[in-house]
Amino acid sequence: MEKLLLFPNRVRPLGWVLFLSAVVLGLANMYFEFSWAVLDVNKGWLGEFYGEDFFSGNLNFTDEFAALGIILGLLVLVFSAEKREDEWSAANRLRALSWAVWLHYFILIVAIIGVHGAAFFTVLVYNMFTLLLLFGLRFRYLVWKASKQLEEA
Amino acid sequence: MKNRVKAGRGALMLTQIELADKLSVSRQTIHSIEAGKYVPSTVLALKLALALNQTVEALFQLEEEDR
Repeated sequence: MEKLLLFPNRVRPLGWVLFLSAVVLGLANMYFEFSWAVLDVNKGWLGEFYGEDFFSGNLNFTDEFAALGIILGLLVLVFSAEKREDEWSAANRLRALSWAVWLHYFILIVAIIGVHGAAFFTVLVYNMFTLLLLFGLRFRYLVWKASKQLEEA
Repeated sequence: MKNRVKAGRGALMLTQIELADKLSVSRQTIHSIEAGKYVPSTVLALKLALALNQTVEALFQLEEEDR
């Protein structure tokens, strides 16, 4: 079996912690304008490097911090090995990935056609995470379905 | 593709879990193969044949639509 690049199974809880805390932070930032002052980057060499924020003039890294947390959390979650990783799980990963890519781009195509202006920006924000999210959900569904069939057999 | 993995396992009185442990795969893998939902790789087919004391050809046969 060709080995996939996967995290060990034991790191999955860390992925959950990272993902869920980053989602809370991201939603708080996006809908309640919550930000950590410690992540202001208007000062010093960072401020010079990044310049002013295009929208607000005040550059704060809370949203970047949340986005990176969500992406890293999802990467750990979807690319951590099963307790017994084998070629069947690898085949299911491929099936789930193919399904997720199709759906991810279908959603994006619908959004390109149907959503305009500032709302499209929101779509793009969520779109950063949908591929990994759909892939993870589909893979878990396939594993759950197989376990259910096993119980019924 | 049809297979006789379940019959071969039954002949040796092995449970799915025991066979899975022998081959270092999950129980779902054995179940999916037996149910004809998953076609194993050549390596796993050879390992299955070895574990069940059979040849690969005896365990796996092509069906008309595979030809």
